[in-house]
Amino acid sequence: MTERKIQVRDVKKHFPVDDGALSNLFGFGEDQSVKAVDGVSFDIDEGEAFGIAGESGCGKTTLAETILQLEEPTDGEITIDGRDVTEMDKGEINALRSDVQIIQQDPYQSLNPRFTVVQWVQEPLDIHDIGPKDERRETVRETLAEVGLRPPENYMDEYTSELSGGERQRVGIARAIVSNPSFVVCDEPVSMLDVSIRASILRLLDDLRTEKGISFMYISHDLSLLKHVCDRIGIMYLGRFVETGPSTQVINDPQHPYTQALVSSTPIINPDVERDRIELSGEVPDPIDLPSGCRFAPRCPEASEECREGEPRMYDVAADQRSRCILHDDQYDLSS
Amino acid sequence: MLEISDLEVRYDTEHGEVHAVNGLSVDLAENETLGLVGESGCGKTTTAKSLIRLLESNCTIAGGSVELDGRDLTDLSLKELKREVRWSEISMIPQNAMNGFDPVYTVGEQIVEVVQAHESDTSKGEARERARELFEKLGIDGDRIDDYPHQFSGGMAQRAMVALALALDPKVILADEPTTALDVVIQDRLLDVIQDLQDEMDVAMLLITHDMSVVSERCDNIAVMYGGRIVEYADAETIIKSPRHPYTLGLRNSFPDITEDSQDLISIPGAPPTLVDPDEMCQFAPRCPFAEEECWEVAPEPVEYGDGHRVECHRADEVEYLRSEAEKHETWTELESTETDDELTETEVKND
Ligand SMILES: Nc1ncnc2c1ncn2[C@@H]1O[C@H](COP(=O)(O)OP(=O)(O)OP(=O)(O)O)[C@@H](O)[C@H]1O
Ligand SMILES: Nc1ncnc2c1ncn2[C@@H]1O[C@H](COP(=O)(O)OP(=O)(O)OP(=O)(O)O)[C@@H](O)[C@H]1O
Ligand code: SF4
Ligand SMILES: [Mg+2]
Ligand SMILES: [Mg+2]
Repeated sequence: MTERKIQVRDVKKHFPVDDGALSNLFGFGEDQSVKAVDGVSFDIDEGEAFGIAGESGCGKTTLAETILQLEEPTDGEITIDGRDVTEMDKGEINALRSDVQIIQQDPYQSLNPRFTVVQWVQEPLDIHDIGPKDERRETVRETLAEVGLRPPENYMDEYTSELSGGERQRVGIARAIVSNPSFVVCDEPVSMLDVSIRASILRLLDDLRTEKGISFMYISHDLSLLKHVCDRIGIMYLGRFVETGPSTQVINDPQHPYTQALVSSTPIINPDVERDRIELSGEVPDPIDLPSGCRFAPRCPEASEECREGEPRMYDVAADQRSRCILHDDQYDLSS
Repeated sequence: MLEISDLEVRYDTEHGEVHAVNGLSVDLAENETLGLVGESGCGKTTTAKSLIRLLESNCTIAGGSVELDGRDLTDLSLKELKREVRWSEISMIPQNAMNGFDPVYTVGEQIVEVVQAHESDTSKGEARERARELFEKLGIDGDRIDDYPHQFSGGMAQRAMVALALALDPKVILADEPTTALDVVIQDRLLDVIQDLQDEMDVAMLLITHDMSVVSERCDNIAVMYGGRIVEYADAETIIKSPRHPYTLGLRNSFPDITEDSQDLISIPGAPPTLVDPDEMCQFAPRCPFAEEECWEVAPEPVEYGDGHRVECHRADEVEYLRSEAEKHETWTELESTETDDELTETEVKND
């Protein structure tokens, strides 16, 4: 059996909503919470890249932060290298922090503007005392060159606030990989990079995966990116997976109606081709007051009465591909 | 309607002057969507911010003009510009959506404040209603205007910023990567909303993005920026189908395509120019597989190739040759290997 690097079981993260007076008044104070992540399970092997895509606000970033213990899970189990992270004490969490890293989604928010580039990238080495002190600056210099900030001398002593969006993003990537972690979460890692630099950064990360066996979790809205770098992907909708499977298969042959809509909405570059997009109608989903039955039903072009009765389970639809939709049920009469 | 001519914007730094925008000229007509694409750090954000002077303290507009309906905005005082232009005439959706909001006020309060600052006769209730409507149009539950910025996901903050930028019916929208945090369904919807508004009110948009498929589907014209200048400009179809500049050609070949399986993308080797006190030459020469002696010595002038197609390259006439070579992987990788050889010798020399 291959080593399960990351194991996530039925993880939930709910944020309480504080509209105090009103909810108390009407007495529906019980479950007024934002169900950002609401029962997610998956595994990532050593040296594997797992991808997550899904609607904006469906809980991807929250899921990542929960796995890395930046947010406390409301429920569920998370193990990294076979150890339950929710039960770790402070010292263990601290050790974990040097071994698992995150490239955060918004490089304007996540970089401390009072740090120079070299201070910011070197910080993980200093905190966790990695490598000889007098070699750290050189390590940082090499890492900056690797992420394409060349010549690194031009960037090292700049304040992070003086960088463009894409430059910041690469500083964030350098900080995440400088300490030689074994697991890296990349939350929209290249969204602010042009296609050419993007390709070389993705190649760099992929080399780290194949050469050093680093595991990756990629979060991105860019399906062609996920298809390019991930072995398997999960498509999320309102806090849960609606489809999982090998990335090429899920994107080439999506089975869940939401994934189908997502794939059909991906813009294409050929001006001669008019794409056939599936329009999603219906109201905006509300993560506080979840729809009954299938969470996608209110917007699903295929929805019928049955869909609103209970939340569908995951069905096996092809080798290693699973989809949460009642249409896959043999009991369900497709002709009706 | 908006005419930018010879714009020069500089940052004063310890290493010298960064010529982030270096003689940039481009026009924007009513109802037009102009895509501005180019490598990270080439000066796109600086260009947009300088139009409404949202500039850092070490940044100055060193030359050129920005005319909106015939009025030169660079002549206005900052105070006049804030009162008469920012948000109401030209609004901006900044690249850093999350930082665009003050963390201590709800998003709704901040939108109401901007609306009331420019429209004194709009009541608080009306302004709130407008914010709610915009939220709903952009796919966020209207009740969430009462949330604080940190309660939003990345994409929600981005859409809230779009709502703010649309709230005052501006004539020009500067959209700096407005969809980086959005899934494609919502991205489509957001761009549709802006498009409807453009058609209704003849709003023009400058759309900065790295997503070439968005540019190709949404823009009338495309300006390709490199090293602080527009190196190629044409209608969208021409840029996508028959570009002439070597940088655009390289860019074209590095587009991933969702309809194809895993492919090895071409990436343009080397690093972008630093823009610190740039020399008189083609800024792309160090990375260009087609660079000749002239390229290192003379900055190319813009040349017209019909229908407004403008190119700044000494070899743009040899387009057939450039195109066929640019399609080959070796054209770009050979350059990469010579470059690493150079680096090796450099370090060897240093070690000696
Ligand atoms: N601190 C918080 N308090 C309350 N609600 C929150 C908080 N953080 C996130 N949320 C809510 O949880 C949901 C999921 O947010 P999350 O940031 O995980 O989404 P996402 O999938 O990463 O979206 P995007 O693609 O837009 O970045 C959203 O409805 C968001 O408003
Ligand atoms: N405050 C500043 N001080 C010094 N240099 C700066 C400052 N802000 C930006 N720069 C530099 O100016 C150049 C242009 O930056 P700009 O933000 O306009 O790039 P951009 O094209 O928007 O890039 P991206 O696509 O990465 O956002 C970059 O080289 C950047 O490092
Ligand atoms: S001018 Fe010369 S160096 Fe510049 S893009 Fe053209 S061929 Fe390349
Ligand atoms: Mg997110
Ligand atoms: Mg920018």
